[in-house]
Amino acid sequence: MNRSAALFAIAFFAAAPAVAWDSTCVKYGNTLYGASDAAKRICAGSDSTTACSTAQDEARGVRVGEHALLASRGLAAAGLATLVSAQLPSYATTGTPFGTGASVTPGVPGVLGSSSSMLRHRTTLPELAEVPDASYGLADFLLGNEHCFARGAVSSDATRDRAARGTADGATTCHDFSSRMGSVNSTHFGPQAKASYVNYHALALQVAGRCRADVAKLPASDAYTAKVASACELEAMALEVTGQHYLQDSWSSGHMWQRWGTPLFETTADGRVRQQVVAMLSGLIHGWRSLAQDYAVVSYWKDDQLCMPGFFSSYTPAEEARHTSELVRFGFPASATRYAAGGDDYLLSCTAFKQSERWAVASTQSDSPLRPQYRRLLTCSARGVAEIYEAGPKTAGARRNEDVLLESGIRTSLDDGCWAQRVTNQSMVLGSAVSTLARLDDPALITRWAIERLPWMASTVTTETISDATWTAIRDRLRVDFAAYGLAIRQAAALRPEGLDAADLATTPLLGFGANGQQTAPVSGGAVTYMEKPQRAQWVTSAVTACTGDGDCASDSYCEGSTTAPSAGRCVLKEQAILRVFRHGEVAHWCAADTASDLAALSTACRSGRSADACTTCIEWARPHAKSVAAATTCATLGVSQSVVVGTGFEASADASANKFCRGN
Amino acid sequence: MKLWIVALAGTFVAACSQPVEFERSASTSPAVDPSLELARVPASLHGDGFALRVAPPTGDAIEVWGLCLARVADCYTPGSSPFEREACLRRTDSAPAFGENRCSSACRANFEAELAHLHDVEAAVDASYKHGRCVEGFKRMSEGALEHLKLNPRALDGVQGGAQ
Repeated sequence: MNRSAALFAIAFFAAAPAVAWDSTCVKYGNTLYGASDAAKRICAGSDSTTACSTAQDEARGVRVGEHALLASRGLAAAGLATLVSAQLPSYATTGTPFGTGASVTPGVPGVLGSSSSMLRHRTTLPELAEVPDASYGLADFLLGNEHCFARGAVSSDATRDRAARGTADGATTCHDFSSRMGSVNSTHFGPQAKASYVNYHALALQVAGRCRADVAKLPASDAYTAKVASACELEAMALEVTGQHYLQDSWSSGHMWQRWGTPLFETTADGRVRQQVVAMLSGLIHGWRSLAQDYAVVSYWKDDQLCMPGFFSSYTPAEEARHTSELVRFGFPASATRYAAGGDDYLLSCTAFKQSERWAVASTQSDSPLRPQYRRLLTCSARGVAEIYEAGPKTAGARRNEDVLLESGIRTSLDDGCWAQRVTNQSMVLGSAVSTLARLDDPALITRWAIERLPWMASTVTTETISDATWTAIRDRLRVDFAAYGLAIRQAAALRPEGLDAADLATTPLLGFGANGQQTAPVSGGAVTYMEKPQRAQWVTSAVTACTGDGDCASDSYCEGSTTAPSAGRCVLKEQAILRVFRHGEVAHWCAADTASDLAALSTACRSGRSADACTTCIEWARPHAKSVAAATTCATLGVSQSVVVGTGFEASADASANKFCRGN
Repeated sequence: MKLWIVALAGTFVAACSQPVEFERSASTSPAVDPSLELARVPASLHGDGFALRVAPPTGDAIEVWGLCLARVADCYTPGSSPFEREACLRRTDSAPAFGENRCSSACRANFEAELAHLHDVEAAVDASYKHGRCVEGFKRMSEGALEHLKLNPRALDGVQGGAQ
């Protein structure tokens, strides 16, 4: 096989794991994502001229895929339709205004100096459900995908990996799905997906609870109180919706199994190649329609694998019943009931099999075979956002008009009924394409071909150098392991076709990687440096490390310079980006963290008259520190010791005090 | 234009790589002109048709074992009775109706011996066909790969990537 043919294959297989529900990004959109037209956008697709093509595009574009649509429907189903259009707050950046491609790093006063500008982020809440497909986490996204917080992502060579951190090329490589992010997206499957969601859900609850407590201390009818409430509620919901990506993925049939792998990058060259092979093979099992459908010659197989196996090219409506055994089905261990299911790219009728409303996961037809799957997905999603909203200040009042589709038996998004679903043994056989039928529309042909090519493809895309002997060992062991796996699932399917044990891969390691559930500890324990730390208290550190580049910092941090001494930077935890973007919601933190010199620098910038945004920034940031005749500072009201107090105390209001401090009049 | 696919027939993934050609049958052919279907495929995949070519058969021990395992897997037909499966597993050294999968008589005999000893069909399959001791050189190849990669497939708990 020559190089171009191999690349053709890489295009299919390397990227397949990412797709989950479809995440779609359009570059530099000037319009808001709207739930009302989301379906139309998914059906229309994005064209190559507007599609986000780089990691940096992905953090600046408009997200219009299935994940965002599902999130908007989950919010609406929970009676929170008003939050569907909620946007990220505007925030001060060290770069130029949004849309230019410049840095979007949210800044702090000492860094901003005189160059602050306000970034009016257009990202809406539901769009954050697409973040984990293009960014390693919420902080990574807010930092514009300009850094690399995944240790070993660029290279198994620690020196080379460290050198690449903080460089534009390094950030791009780090976020490349085909060769990097896809290697560790076992977190989008099975128990690792649950562990990931649990972290985000717990963080969201922590923020919502603290938010509610803070707001209760502040004057009830004060405009600034409303600002604080809105910001911290949005912060909590942003964490929840980002985490809901993993919940949504768990409800794609292509993800209802324990994909082998670990969320951490392997630290040896052969380990990285093995990890990539496993990712590629998992992608084959998961499904590859979104990548294959544009290549007509293989489009015969596109309705394959776990996202919608069966029917193949010979389907006609009259054959539907006859092909029932070729549907992917799922169930729960505690129940004998099994349900039909679909996955990525089959959400709406425009993309469903044969564009049939009946075979859309989100079918509007009550008798659709896929209705139970969608109903449970919607219920779990709605319960998750409702829990967070109820724990917070509830700025929109009581939830209204909860969707009648929601299942009363599922009261929380952590219910086993939201996470224990697995495809049947027979579905694993169909999805794994290990049949021996040799029908020409049988995806097993692709699998057989790919197995031969995967080691070579993996070593190519990862740019890892391995010896011929290692390459041969990987190839040989892959042949052995996959054949043993194939036998195991065919045995399970024959003996227990409706059983769910094959999806758990308990006895069939692949190239040294065990079942997904064996690697939840790094996620739960906060060892995955690219994800948000699971405890909000861990987002702040008093340690100060000097740096000249990201490579000088720990994997969970980046190097931030200052306007006065760009080369003398300090390492900053990536989670600081969240605290900065949701600054008003994190007012208690900033009461203690802001310094007199920070605010003085902002005041100087404002008075210089060079930027209107500088004054806006200064006034907003000085506001909680400002005292007035009427009341104590917000910081004091919250009971937080503040390092700086603004104003003389004789101003009529805190707003006036902050304004006077910044403008000098 | 004929559309041919060179692929592995009746085999179990690439553990065995016997190339066999199939002409696309009318019953499963999409009603399209293949020349149109090929229009978006890289030129390297054109020619007289679309070819999915795998490596030529090596005849190595893993391939021999894989062909046998595929034959064994074919005995696990959904809906088959235990008697049918056992009977099938006792004749794996005979040619299947389709394809090249088959086991050596040594493997079949090994299975029967294990079955007589264990009195459990599945355990006997694991101990014989799956274990592969009946295929000369298989253990050396498969375990040699493990050793080279420093992998321990049975002790993965808490060990990233299974490396020892």
